Amino acid sequence: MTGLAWKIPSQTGRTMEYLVMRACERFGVPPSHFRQLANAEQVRWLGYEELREAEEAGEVDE
Amino acid sequence: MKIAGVDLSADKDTLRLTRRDGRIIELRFAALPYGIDEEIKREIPDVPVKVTGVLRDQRGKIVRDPDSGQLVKTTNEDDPEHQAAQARVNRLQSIFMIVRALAPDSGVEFDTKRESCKDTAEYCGRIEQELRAAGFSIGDVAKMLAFVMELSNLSKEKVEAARDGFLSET
Repeated sequence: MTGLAWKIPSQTGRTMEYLVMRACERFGVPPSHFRQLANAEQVRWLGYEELREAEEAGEVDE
Repeated sequence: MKIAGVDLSADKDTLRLTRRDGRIIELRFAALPYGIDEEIKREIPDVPVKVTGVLRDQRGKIVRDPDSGQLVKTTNEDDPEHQAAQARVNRLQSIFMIVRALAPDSGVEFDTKRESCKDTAEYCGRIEQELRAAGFSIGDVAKMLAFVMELSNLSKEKVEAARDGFLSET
């Protein structure tokens, strides 16, 4: 299999799959919906998720 | 839009390949979404592994799993025939990725049309032949694939740049 080498973006050390699931949970959509988004939109969702996680952890002001 | 040197709109990028006659071909690839692996496997499935029998020890006695007591099955996974078939599938899956990533490039047109093929595997096989006939080497195809994979990667830097894009500069 060609295997896209998805890296781990989360600062918390969790996997990409976990971050995707968190983003889907926040947006209230199933992972199948996320997979249909364009790559740039997926990156945007994950960036938003990372910021929200940082806010909720008190690392940045809301 | 660029943030900290990362171009967020860069879900498209151009690969320049030098041909033998010195001409430079430009191919504009679009990043593939996370989860494309599932679509690839659905369109061009891996070669199924067949059970060939049960494992026996040197005396011909059937071997059982020590924990479950179940028979240990042997498969054709290591057979040269199976491996060759799987290698072909891997190649076609790679071509599928390249074709998908090239779709937005209006300057690239393949003679083979998907609707003229019975399935995606046949389509990708014919596209592979077209690429070869057009003078693209295996190395060129490998460069295309590596380029698409790098472009499609949801890297830490891209996500962090997207995150920082939500922060105001003041």
